[in-house]
Amino acid sequence: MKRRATQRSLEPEFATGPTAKDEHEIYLQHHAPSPEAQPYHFHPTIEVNYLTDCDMTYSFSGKKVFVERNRLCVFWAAHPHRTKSVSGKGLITNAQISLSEFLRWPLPPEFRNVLLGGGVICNKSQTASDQFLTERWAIEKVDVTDGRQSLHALEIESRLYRLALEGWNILLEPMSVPPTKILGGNAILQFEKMILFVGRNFSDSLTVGQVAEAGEISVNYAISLFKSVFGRTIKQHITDVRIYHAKMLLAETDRRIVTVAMDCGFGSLSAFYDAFQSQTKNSPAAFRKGHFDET
Amino acid sequence: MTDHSKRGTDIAAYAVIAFDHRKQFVVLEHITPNRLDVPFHFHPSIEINFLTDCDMTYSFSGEKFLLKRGHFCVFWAARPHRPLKIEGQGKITNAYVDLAEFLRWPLPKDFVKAVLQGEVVSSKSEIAGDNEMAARWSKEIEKTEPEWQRLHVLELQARIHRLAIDGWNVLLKPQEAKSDLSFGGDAIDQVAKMLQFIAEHFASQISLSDVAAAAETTQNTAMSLFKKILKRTIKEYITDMRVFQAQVLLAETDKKILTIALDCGFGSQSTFYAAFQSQTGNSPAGFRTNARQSSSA
Repeated sequence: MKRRATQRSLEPEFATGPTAKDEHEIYLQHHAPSPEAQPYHFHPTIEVNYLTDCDMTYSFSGKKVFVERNRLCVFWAAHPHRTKSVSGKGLITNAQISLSEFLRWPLPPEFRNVLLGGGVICNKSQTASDQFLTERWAIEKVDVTDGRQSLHALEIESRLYRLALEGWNILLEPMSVPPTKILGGNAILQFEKMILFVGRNFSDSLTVGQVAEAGEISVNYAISLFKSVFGRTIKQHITDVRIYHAKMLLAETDRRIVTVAMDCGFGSLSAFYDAFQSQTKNSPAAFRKGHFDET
Repeated sequence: MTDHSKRGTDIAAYAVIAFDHRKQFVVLEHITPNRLDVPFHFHPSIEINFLTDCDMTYSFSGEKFLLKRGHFCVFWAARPHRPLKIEGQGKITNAYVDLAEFLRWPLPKDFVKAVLQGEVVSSKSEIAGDNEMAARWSKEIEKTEPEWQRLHVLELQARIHRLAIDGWNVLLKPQEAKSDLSFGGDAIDQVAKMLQFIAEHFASQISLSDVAAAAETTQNTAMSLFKKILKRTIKEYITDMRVFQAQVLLAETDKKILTIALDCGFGSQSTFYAAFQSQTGNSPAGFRTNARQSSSA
């Protein structure tokens, strides 16, 4: 986690969450959601949320996403997000699934791709059994024995599989829809290591060689692995991550544009402008203005 | 193995569970339980029951116990069983899980051991959401596409895993089984491999060394593990499976008795007669006559 001085005490937080290196593939949390308590954050896990007695508005790189109570909301939390507002007094149950665990689940490809592409989705209709299921997770989250952990993993996997087969509502459109590719066990771990590395270090200047090194694989293999999972090159992925963060900082802070550019790892203001323009068809200043006008 | 006190009406029937071993590992059904229509039946799969709005008294080869609504019940269905009494107007949701599929589930070893030993187990308490889940399955029975099959397998697996982790009640314990057994996790895997091998090959000539080889162990280890966990010798168990199969063929086909003996893996008609007589207390011909009478009645 990097700390920098800002005017609005809103600091990005890189919460690693569960990864393959950890003992556990899944974290469960249960608490009252609050807009103040959270800086914007991102973590390379798949997040499953369930709200009771309250609704919530998220900001995903400046885009508002309204999440209704009693629905399962799912997204890849590598995309910077923050709780903007909460209406009602209620609780949220979160399940964080490591990327590698999620990639091992043979879920329908369209479903997986929407999530990896940055989509935020929820189930179409509310069912009482989701409340029972998440209530059990909330009670059992303290039990981290292997048996209980693998039970929770199975329950989450089967619940997501049902969501995928029954169809889902899109709360936020994916930025890109990656191609279908099933990875083997080693490739999943290597891929996760590289994703983690980019997530931790995007604000520094990065080379493709460093990313490959983080995955403990050759540069050529790293490039083809990225291409097959994401349909993006490593360079494009690094830029994507930087732009997601830049949007978040533009929308949610008063930081100067040049500071945002530097904080997000762009070597120069002009490199930032070019990348931002080509990805969002908008300039950083116009994006910020549009966002502030909206709020 | 059949209930001798009611001979003639309780002829064991083989419930044909149509597993397509390449694609399908679980068969779901949702029916009104009816004691009159159901003879004793058995099938080499794991059976899972869930009752809504009714309770059921089961007979397992004559031993009775009550299965209450709202509780999942799990057992190795190779042992002949049938409903005796139904109280209430309700439905039963059944799932039949292929043994090989069941053994692939990373369930706690003590649970797998209990089920393979022949214990009938049930969830300790009703869990909110179970009724909804069973209702969903019953609506989705027609959905037999591979992805829906996979979903149902996953959901069943998760539910049974929860049952195993939360703890279970034993509704029926095989008389011979002792509870003070302890053996490592490998033992269960090895016995499971042997069971799987026997289920697939009992109809041909298989030797003790074939069975031991399937579990990648020595004959002595194979024999002692098998006896320890299943309370039967490998040879007795193979004979059980052959006689079960012979009962089906006698009841449901016109095949000659000698042909059936050979088809079920018996080396000769005389070994078939001896095994059949000692297991069922009846001759193959007598069993066939009873089966015909009961099905035409």
